[in-house]
Amino acid sequence: MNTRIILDILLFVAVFIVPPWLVLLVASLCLFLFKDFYEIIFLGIIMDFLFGVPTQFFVLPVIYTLLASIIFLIRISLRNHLTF
Amino acid sequence: MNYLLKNNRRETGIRKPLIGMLTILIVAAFFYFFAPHFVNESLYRVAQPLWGARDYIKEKSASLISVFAYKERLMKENLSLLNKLAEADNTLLDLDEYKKENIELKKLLGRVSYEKRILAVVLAKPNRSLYDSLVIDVGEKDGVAVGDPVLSGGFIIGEVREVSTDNSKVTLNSAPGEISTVRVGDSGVDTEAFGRGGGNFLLKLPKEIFVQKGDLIKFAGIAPRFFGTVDHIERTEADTFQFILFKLPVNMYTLNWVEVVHRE
Repeated sequence: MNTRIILDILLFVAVFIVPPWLVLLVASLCLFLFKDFYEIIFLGIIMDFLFGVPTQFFVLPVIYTLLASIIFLIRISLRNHLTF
Repeated sequence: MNYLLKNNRRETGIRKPLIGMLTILIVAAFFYFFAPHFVNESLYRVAQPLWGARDYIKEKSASLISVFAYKERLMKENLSLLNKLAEADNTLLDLDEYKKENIELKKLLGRVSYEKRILAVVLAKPNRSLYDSLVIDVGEKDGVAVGDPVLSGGFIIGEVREVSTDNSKVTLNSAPGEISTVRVGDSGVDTEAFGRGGGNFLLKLPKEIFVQKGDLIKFAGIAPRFFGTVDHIERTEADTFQFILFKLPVNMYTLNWVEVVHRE
């Protein structure tokens, strides 16, 4: 539990200073280490609020939330097929 | 009938996280549509000291590296930079005179533009996001408004899209899907430039229009605002169009300062 809290804090700080792809990569690994790692969705949401701007291509700037949700969905659908 | 315990667990195991995920997304959507400023401002309040610390560490580590760098090489570099600076100063003197003359002429002809330039520090750059956006340290409090153009030197690099009290988000003109109307060289032909991300653009012109490498690309208007210079031209025998690739002369990844132009 303590490890998870420390990792949560580190990932939260990393959102501001590390490229988003790296944060998502580490958070994806955490999905396999911890049960229901909802934090990945929170991180996606924070990144969208921080950097997302509506453009003619992304009308709704939710690309990181979408990516995080897809990764989370893949993980939970794989849960029963993978054993750790 | 007896079911295996494992199968029961499987069903509930997926439903719970799915409901959890949807709840988080619904709450986020509520904040996104009804209180975006509240979230943005809270996040920027947390981000600013972190971004400050990051820049401080970067600056200190750069100066530490320079201590160990080869002195002779540094001296040579210093000399050549001093020479370049002197040349640039001379050119700027000329340029300043022309600018003054230009403004005076416009005043005489009754075309005065009332605009305020606000200097801003770039807090987050494109390499930190997929959006090709900048986060700058000026906002509503400093007089920035949505739609204000953002300049770096004489080049227009983007537009303010979101404003909070102390910060603003800028979409770069080169963001994927962004379309800007530009004028190529002295041709007088207006065309659309498509953003391709990372400061790169693509535009299409009929083959008959003469364009060469290095031609200036600018915005049509009374104030001279530049967009970039022609970098590469693609022409084929079969095609009636030529494709021009160009990029901003400013390096987005090392950008520290920009100017926001606010019309009064």
